[in-house]
Amino acid sequence: MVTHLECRNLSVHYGDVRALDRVSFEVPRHSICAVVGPANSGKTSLLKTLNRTIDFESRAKVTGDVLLDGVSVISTGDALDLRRRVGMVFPLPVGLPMSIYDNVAYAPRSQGLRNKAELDVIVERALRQSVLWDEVKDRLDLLGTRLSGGQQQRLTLARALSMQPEVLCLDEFSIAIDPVTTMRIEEVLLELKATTTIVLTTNLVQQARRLADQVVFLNASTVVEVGDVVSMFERPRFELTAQYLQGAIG
Amino acid sequence: MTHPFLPTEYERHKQVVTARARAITLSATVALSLVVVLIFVALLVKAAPALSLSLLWENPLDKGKTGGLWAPLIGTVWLVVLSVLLVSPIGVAAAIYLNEYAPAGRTTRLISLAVTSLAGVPSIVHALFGLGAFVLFARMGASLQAAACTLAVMNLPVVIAASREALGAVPRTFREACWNLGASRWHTLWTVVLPNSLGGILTGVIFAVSRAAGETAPILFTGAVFFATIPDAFPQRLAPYALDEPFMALAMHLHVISTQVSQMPHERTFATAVVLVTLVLLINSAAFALRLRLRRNRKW
Repeated sequence: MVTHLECRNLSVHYGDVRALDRVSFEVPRHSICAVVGPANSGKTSLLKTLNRTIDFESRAKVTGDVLLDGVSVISTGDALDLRRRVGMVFPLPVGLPMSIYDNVAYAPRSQGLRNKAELDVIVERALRQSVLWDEVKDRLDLLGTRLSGGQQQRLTLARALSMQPEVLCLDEFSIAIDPVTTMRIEEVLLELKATTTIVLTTNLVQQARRLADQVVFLNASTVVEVGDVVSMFERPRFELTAQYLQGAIG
Repeated sequence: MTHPFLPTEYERHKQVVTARARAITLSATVALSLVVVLIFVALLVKAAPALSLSLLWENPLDKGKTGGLWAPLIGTVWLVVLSVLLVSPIGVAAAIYLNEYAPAGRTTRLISLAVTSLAGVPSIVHALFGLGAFVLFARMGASLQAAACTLAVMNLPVVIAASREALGAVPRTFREACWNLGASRWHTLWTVVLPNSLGGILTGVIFAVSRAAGETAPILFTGAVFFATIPDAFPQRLAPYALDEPFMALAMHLHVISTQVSQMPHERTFATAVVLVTLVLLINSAAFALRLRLRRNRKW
């Protein structure tokens, strides 16, 4: 398989605090990579580096590199374009203070798309993919902030999908969602895999097992082990990995 | 056997403390409101004999002893409108820079400190600055434009502080969600931040307006005069002062008739105060009404 995304000796520091220490791994195109690890192990910092949202943390300092199709993400001059190619869903739902329709149409419009018919198609596709369409199709003019927490989380996902990103990052996407919806979104992610490379972090080890092709186990800011999902769960090379995956630590 | 739901000693103590705190804070509020009401009632009672609609519409005659208050009233209106037109774009733009663009650091903190300090400068100092900077240095002379500029400088920190507060009330998560989608800061500002803070910014500007309307010191040396002859004829009386000429203003008028004019009928002095206070109250009420409306339309 062709490598789509690669972290090379990636380190992140917040002032004197080290969040990520010389992390290296590769993600093949059109696969799902699950980053697991205990709290504070650097999962979120890792994701934020992938689409340079780390830039908004004024104290963060990044060394090493992330390569997207072999091109440096860290030194790219066009972070805005990068963020359209690498979509991101954060764990806490954020409905923008505008209608559901405008929420989903925000990114295409920010790129200058004004054609109503085209926008309609994008909005419907993104909302269907995020399993929200049936609940909101009759009230697309409702404020996004009026939706429930779980619905707002799916709205956030729909916004990210509206750009048809080539890489989709999800940080603990299921924290605010009920189990049934979580399962439906997991099905969607497996479908999206045909066209999208997905990197997700999760605290739910079983979720990683259900979804991932590849698992990256982070602990104390460093990569302990990287491997395909079956060998990680059945024949981990390190005792620490086995303990974490069995729920003994973390 | 005691009843299981009777309050314990500790719970009774807590109730007493709560009741006491409520009584103290309530009495402070009542005292404050009383002062406001008393001021207004006292003014109204003393001004009653002089109050009439013609007071608003006619121009003052004989050092303000007869006639009305139209000339100073329209002067104040123009002064305030001009100073707000000057201060709003600069103040709002500065607030946007400080809140949305400026990197967090020593320089930004210093600028914020300077702005805050500017708000604490006494108005008479602003008056002297206006005299030096606008009247003399910029060669505006004592004029409507010089006074408007001076008031604008004085209100700059008020507008900046109110605008920053309004911008800061828009959660950072909204901005991050937009940046996350590849939207630029500028696009985010126009599509999400400004639409949701405009109300707060407007309210701040209106409060600055009301402050400008009541100030005497900053216009004392910079353009306000006790007496200017203006036309009585209808359309002309709406814009009677040229930008580069001195003008009359209510606060200035009140200051002079209450301290300089001998044998001034008392009720006329109080009537002038009533008109000035009513003007300020009306402007403030507009700000409150706007704020209430916006709160009802809150989007999150």
